[in-house]
Amino acid sequence: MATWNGISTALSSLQAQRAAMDIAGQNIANVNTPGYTRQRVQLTSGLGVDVSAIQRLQSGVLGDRARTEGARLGDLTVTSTVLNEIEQVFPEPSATGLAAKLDAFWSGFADVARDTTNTAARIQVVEQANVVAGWLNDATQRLTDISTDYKQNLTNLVTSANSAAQKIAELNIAISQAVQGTSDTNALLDQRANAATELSNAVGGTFTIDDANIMRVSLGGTTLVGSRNYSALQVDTTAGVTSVQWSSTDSTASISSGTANGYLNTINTVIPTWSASLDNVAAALISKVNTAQAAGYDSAGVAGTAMFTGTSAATIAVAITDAAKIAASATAPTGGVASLNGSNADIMSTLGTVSGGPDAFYQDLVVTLGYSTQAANETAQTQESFSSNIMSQINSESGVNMDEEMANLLTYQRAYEAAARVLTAIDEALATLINRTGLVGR
Amino acid sequence: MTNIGRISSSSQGLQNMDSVANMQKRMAQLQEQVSSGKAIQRASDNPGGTQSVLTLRAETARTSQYTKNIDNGLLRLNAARTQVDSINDQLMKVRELVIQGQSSATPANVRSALAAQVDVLRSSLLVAANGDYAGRPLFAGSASVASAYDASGNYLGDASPMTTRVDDSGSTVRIDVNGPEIFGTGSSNAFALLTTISSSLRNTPADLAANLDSLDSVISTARGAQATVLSRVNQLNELHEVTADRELGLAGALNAVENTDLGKAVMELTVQQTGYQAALYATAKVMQPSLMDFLR
Repeated sequence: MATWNGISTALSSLQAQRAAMDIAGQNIANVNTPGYTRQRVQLTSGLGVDVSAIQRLQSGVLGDRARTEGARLGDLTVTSTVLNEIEQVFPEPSATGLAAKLDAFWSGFADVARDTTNTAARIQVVEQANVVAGWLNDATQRLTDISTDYKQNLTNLVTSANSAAQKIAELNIAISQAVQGTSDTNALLDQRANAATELSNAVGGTFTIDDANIMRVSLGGTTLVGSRNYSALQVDTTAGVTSVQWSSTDSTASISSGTANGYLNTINTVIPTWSASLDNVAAALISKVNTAQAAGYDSAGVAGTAMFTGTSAATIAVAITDAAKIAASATAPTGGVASLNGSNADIMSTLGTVSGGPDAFYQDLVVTLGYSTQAANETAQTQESFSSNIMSQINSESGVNMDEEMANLLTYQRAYEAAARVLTAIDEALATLINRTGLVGR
Repeated sequence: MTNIGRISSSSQGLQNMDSVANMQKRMAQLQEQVSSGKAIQRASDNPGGTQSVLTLRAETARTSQYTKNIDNGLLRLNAARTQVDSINDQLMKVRELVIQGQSSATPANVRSALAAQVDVLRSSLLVAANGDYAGRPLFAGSASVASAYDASGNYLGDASPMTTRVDDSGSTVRIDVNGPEIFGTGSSNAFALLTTISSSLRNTPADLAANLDSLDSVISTARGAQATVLSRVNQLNELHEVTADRELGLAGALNAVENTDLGKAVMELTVQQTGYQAALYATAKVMQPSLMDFLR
């Protein structure tokens, strides 16, 4: 074995240990970096030691799982958040909800029934009618506002999904051109994984990585990200139904998971469902009260006229301004003398208990909404712990452990010191050879 | 939480943070319950309970109206009772005067004085008949008229009864008695009869026997009205108690569903706080040391 081999062996060790220490340092520096995958130097022996690759310690299977579950979590979280927002539109049980307003409205009729000449009681009923109608108008407006917010959210989400898709396509190109197994390439892979998580959380999709390390994404079989390019998405609301489309073809993109699916569900199904329930309440109120009004006679003995106009929660309004128009009496005037009988007002005071009345519809709405919200919250919570389980598995595999890095650092440092000692020893041996030999006869 | 042996520094921190955050969430819920005193903050906390609360609140509102109805009915009927009592007394006085006038020993001038007394009693009866309650005539039924009877003793009201609802089943109780029910109807009513009696006393004492029969029939009608009013007052008094009990029952039921069981909530809160402190302590202990503490 040549003397010079010893020097290069020591040198290769010095270089390898230094590279390993660099990587330990890189790992320690990124201990808290989200999405960072720990790296490890792969050493192979040859003439001395070689850094054959810098490994990125990640399981592809877990990454796929994390994306799928993350997308589902995004979807379920939106559903639960929206239901909680809708629940705030119907603050029950409380003194500010519709139930309390309706109770006061019906009680007002009982006050009129006791004394139909009581103008204050009559005015109170008209006021309460306005409160109830106003409440319904407000509630339906708030539902519309929530829907509008989510349309805006969807637009923003699609914009960021497009930029994530673009980033993945660009990183695909960069990775295909970079040298594999280097720290720089690993950083690119980390960046692409982060972009993939972002894209998956937004719109879901199927992610595949081929042997050439190219990531492809498809939505319902249609390519979203290819090897070098991506297809942009856009939001469409033209047909009255909100959808996400492919910008290039204007055809609907198949979205079945991710936050976008939650948004679409909210806009197209959830809000319309509760709006319709609220409209049922308004319609029942209008029909029951107006029918009762028509059966009675007002203060002047004139047959009762409609108290409410409109057909839905958005359009309901009070038609009566003169409190004398409340048809409190059930008896037609005899000989031109109006009846002060309050039995029609009495009947109206019981409209809160009739089947198919507004109270029944409203109670049904509140309770159904309560159960739906409860279920959605629980599902989202379960999914959250499921996702965080997977994240913690990934973290266990790919995250940095300080103790481990410190131990590695120590090992590499010692190895470096030893390699330096080897170099010194060879150097000294050579010095002996060069300086102390061949002196015979000098 | 994980079945992989390796633990990374950040996963350790995240897990600790997760459990601490969960405990904080649970504590916040309990604190909300304790500070607001309400066990149900929103429908999703307890949808079934929310339904009960809404139903019970509506029922409470209705029941308090029934109480008001009953109180109002009692006031009205008691006012009517006072008048009906006095009407009966006055009719009895008329009867005494008729009997006095019937006697053959009564001279014409005394009969004439008796007739004058009957006239006075008739006007006083008319005043009682036009008695009012809260600005409305007591005995005019539901008619929107200023008084139940005009000066000639003609009934101006109608026959439509005033009723008031007393419970959810739809039971109603009459809270009035109308003129004809006290004084009789048409030409045989008390006022017409008293006019006749007055004239008989003055001019045709022979008719007084027949008049007395008619008067007895009028008195019997008025007595009937008196009994009816009394029985309605009794009925409402009983209903008043029943409804008051019902209100108490509803308040109790509502309290049980709606309000926080403070003892239980505070106890749970204490348990949660202990758990929270333990988690914080464990986090502090576990996360502090690393290999660096032991390398030099």
